[in-house]
Amino acid sequence: MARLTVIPGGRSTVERFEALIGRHYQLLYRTAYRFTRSVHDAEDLVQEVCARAYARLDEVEQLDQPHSWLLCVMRRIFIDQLRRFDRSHVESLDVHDAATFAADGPEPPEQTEAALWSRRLDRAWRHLDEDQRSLLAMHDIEGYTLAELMEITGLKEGTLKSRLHRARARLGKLLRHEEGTRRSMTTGAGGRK
Amino acid sequence: MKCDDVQSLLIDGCGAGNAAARREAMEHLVECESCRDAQLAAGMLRAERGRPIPPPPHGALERAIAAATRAARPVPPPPARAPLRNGFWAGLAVGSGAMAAAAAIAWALLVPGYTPTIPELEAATTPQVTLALYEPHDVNIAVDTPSPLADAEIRVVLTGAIELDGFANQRELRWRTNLDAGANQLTLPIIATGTGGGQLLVEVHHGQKRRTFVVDVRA
Repeated sequence: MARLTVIPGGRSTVERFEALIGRHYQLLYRTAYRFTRSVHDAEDLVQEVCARAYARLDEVEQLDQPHSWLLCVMRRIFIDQLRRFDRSHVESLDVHDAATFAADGPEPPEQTEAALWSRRLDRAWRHLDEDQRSLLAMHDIEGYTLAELMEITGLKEGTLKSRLHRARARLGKLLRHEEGTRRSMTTGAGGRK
Repeated sequence: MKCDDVQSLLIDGCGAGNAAARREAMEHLVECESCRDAQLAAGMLRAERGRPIPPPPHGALERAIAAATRAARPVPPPPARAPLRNGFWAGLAVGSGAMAAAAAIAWALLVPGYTPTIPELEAATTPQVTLALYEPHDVNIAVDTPSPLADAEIRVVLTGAIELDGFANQRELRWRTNLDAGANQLTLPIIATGTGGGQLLVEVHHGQKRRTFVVDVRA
C-alpha cells in the first residue's frame, strides 16, 4: 500500500530516529560494553553506531531485524577503530568497571573471587584482537547463536566455528598464563615472609 | 575428531545427546591443550553472562541522539531570490530520505487566484532531490506556518518522468487537512521512471491565499 501522508506536527526524522534508537539502545550499549569492557568506550561506540544509523534511517526502518544491522555496524566500527587506535590506546580508567561494579551481586567473599576473575579476564581480553573480542562477546557472553552471528558478521558457519575456537583457545591460554603469574607471585611473596 | 567439532559439542551443545561423540570429545580434550584452553575461556565467559554490567552514563542515550542528528544537520539553505513576505507560509524545505537535507527554498508569489507556471517557478531557487531510478523514495516536504491553518487544501501535481508510488496513472492529487503552527511534514513516495526526472508541484490553499512550491526531482 502506497503511503501518501500529511503529518501535521507529526513524527519528524529526529522523532523517528529517537524511536528506533530508544528501542535498541539497551542492546547496543550492552553489546558495546561487552566488546570494550569500558563504560565510556561503550558510550562512544554506540554514538558512532547512532551516527551511521541516522544517515540511513529510511533503510534501517524498513528492515525486519534492525538490531542485526546495528550490531553489524557496531562490530565493523569496533574493529576499524581498534585497528586504528589500539596500538596507542591509553588504558581507560574504567577498565575495571566489571570488577568493581556491584549490583545484586553475591556476598563479599564470592564477590571478591568473582571480581578477581573478572579483572583477570579484563587483562586477558585486551590481548585478544578485535575480531576475537567481538565474536566471543556476542556468542559466548551475549549468547547469540551461530545462525545469528552468521547474519551479523556475514561469515560462514565453518569460519565462525574456527575463529571462535581460536579466540577461546587464545583467551584460555592468556588466562592460564595470568593464573600462573599470580601463583608464582603469591608463592614468591610468601617465600620472602 | 577435530578441535572445531569438539568445541561445537562441548560448548555449543551440538550433538550433545550422542554419548559416543561426547566420549570421543572428552578423550580429545585430554590430549589437546588448545581445546582445554578453550574450555577454560568458555567457562569464564559463561560466568560473565550472568554478571550485571554497569549502567550507561546518565544522559548517554540523549547524547547519542544529539550527536547523530547534529552531525547530519543540513547546511542552511541559500537565501531565496524572490522577496520573502512575512506571514502565511514561513517557508518550505525539501529533504530526501532520512538525511532530510534541505536542498533549497522555492518561493512563488502569494497572489490570490494566481497560479505560477513551472517555468516561472524554475526562475526561483528550486530545491532538488536526486533519486535512483525505479526505486521508491520518500521525499519529505516540510511546510512551516507561523499559525495553524484549518481546512487547508493541498494539491500535488507531478510532471515529467516521476510517479507517486502506488498512484502510477495519477498526475494530480488534492486533499484537505489541518496544518499546525510550525513544521508540517508531507511525505511523498516518489519513483523516478526516467533519466529526465521531473518536477513536483505542491500548492497549499487556505481561504483566499495560495502558495505554490516546486521541487526538481532528478534521476
